[in-house]
Amino acid sequence: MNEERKVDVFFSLFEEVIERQNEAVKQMVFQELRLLKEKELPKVLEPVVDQKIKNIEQRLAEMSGANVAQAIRQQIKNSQHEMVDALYPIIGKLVRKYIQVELAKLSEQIDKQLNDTFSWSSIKREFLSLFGIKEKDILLANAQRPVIEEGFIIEQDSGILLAHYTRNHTIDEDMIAGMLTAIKSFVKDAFHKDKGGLNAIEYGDTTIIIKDSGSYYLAVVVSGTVTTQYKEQMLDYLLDFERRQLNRPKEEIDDLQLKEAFIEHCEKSDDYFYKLKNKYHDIEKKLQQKGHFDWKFWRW
Amino acid sequence: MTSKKNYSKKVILIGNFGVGKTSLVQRYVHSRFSEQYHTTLGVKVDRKVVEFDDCILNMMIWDVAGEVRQDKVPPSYYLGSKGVFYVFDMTRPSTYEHIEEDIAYVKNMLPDAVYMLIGNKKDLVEQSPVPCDFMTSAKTGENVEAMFRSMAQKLLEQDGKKINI
Repeated sequence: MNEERKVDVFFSLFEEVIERQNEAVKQMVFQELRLLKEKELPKVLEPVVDQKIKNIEQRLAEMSGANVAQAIRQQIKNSQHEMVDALYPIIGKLVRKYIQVELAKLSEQIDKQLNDTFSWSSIKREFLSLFGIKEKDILLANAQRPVIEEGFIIEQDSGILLAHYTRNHTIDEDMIAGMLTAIKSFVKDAFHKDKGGLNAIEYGDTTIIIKDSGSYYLAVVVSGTVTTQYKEQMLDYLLDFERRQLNRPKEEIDDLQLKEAFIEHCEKSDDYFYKLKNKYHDIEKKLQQKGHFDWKFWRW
Repeated sequence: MTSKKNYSKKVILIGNFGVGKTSLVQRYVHSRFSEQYHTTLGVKVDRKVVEFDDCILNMMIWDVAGEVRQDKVPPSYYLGSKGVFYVFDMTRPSTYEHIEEDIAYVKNMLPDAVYMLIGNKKDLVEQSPVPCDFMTSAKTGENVEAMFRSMAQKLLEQDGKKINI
């Protein structure tokens, strides 16, 4: 028994000695590594890094500015399609917006001229100014004429949709009504406006015209060139609907009847707005007549 | 065959940041608009049509971006709401410590609305630390449909309609 214990003691002492030796060796290795890292490694690496930097500098110096430009040019040439794809959405939007702005200006100019032209007091001027308007301008204005794409009657606070008109059935009208109301509310809260509010939102070639009407508001999404005059006419047009359909207590408003009336109102907007169209047609006709006119004879 | 009558109601989800309001809505509806509206406008509107035997409720769900206190939310976002979900995170006491004050603040603006307390993240805890109407998990979907459907039912009942689920 005593012998066994002695053997155990011996082995435990032996294990301890081995462990200590291991620890000493470990410490030595770490010490060596630290020294190598702090002193020896930089000595070895520095010349290699310096040489690499010199090589890079030399190669950069060899590449003149012209070479770089040539390389870029070549790269662009090789990937023209990718460049066009990348730039098209940005440039396209800019060009579209520019054309839209220019057309709006043009359209306003035409509106002004037409108003002058067709006043009873200046029939003579009308005839003469007729020839001051280019046929192309009239056709362009017609091509970009504003069209009601969507129409909404929305409850002010809740954003609940009461009536909706659409030309193409592509949107979720309830969610649009909700988000539009959120935007209106946001603007109202952000600028602490008790009276008035958001009257229009413009995005690309789309304009949303908003008309408040008591506990409701009307919003129409218009595509095309929206001039100041058109906006005013649209507000009048919406006011007309408001007077006929919404100027009564909430309980008296029949939802179904309101929906039908609103759709009809939006559909008839073309007739209302294009009184001007008739004017355009008159001018076009007259221009055509002008084409058959013998101007040489007229001069004599 | 008679066509079902349609109703539209606005409900709003409020509660602290990170309690899972948006996840609950995402579980319940298929969003069409970007979640980015939360950061830009502070609200995102979604729609869910809840169909009952004799009527249809068009529920407009306003998911308001999380704020530490409800008085930080633009007041006009609350207007017109018929139902309010107050969502809290059952694992974070800071999200349910001010329930009473927050609800009182909203009730001041919406005295007649239907209120529901929702303890979310049921997948992480067994019991709700405070009383609530529904314990939900946006992660597993547990009770999500039930909480919205229950709200729809209450909204219609408030209008005096008897609802058969």
